[in-house]
Amino acid sequence: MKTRIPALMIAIIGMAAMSPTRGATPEFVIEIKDHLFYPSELTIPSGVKIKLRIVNNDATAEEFESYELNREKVIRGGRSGTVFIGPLPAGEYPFFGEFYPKTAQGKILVVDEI
Amino acid sequence: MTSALIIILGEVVEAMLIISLLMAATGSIGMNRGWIVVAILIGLAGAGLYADYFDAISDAFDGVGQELTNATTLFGVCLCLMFFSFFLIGQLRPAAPLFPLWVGIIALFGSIGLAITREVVEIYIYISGYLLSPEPVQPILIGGALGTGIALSMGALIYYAVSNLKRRQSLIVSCIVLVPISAGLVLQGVTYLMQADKLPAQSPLWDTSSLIPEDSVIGELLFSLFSYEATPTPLHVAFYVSTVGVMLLGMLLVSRLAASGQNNSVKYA
Repeated sequence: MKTRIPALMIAIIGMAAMSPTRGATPEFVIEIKDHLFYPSELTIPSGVKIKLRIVNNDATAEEFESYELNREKVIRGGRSGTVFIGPLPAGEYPFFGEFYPKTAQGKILVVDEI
Repeated sequence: MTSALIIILGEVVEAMLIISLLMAATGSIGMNRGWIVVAILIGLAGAGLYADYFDAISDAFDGVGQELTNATTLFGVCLCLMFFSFFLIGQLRPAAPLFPLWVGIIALFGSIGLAITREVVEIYIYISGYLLSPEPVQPILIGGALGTGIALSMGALIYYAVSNLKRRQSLIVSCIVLVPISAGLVLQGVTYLMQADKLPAQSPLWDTSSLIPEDSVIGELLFSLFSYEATPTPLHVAFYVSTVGVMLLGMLLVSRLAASGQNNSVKYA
């Protein structure tokens, strides 16, 4: 009986470690073109962690930044970058491009039901 | 031009605050200021290296290499500032410094070198993007020069304010100001680790964004100086408080050690 407990614990820890598989994180993409975000409004589910890929099609660098999401990431021209967001409660989370804040504006809409 | 001014100002102020404080402190203990120049050159070399490998670093670790590098750099600056503050407190009694000079020099190289690497890379990527595009680069350069000028004047102000204090006071003031700066750097590092999904994202403990919005002038200034965060999570607060605690306790311990060393030397004299 005694030897089974560690084996059981290893099995539980192993399952816990494996359960958040990489494929389980949904991926969303935002593109930058002419210092604008496409889409400028992205809807994502609440309570779920997502992987946001930002593709910069401009020649210039851009910094994806959001005070509400607490995220900032520099993406060079012609490159892409990944940012993890959430899980978040439902609401509106604006973001902007710090290098071109006049035009590069957008928001992430977190909703309970998509 | 205005956005370039704000961006460059924010970046340069962060590094200038550390450089001007350390410059004033090293001056007051009679350490050769040439070490600061060497530290700045190390930082510029580091920035060149980082910029060279920026794309490879960004793509590494499943696309979160930039976050991991930034977090490591921030934790590195914090650690070096911590050791530098211990080194300074060890110098409170000029007759019996507690640590050898090389401890201070390495901490100086690490903190200023890494701080400059971090800020200069961001500025380089921002400006180099314009150089590759057909857009006019002149307004960016003018805005950047103005931003740098304002940041340098702020640095000079801090430097002279601390330098004008008496030796003991200037050491204590520098060390106390280094505490929220260092803890703030850790705070920023924690945010990068959350962004990279290496630390769990959490709901904020409180929200002061209606009081001091992060995008207001005061909010931006507070961020550049002390890494102001309007919506800290429990992990942020835990890391911040631990850093403050370790630094204050360390300084207290070093000052006790320095004092007992002094007593011994008096006893055996």
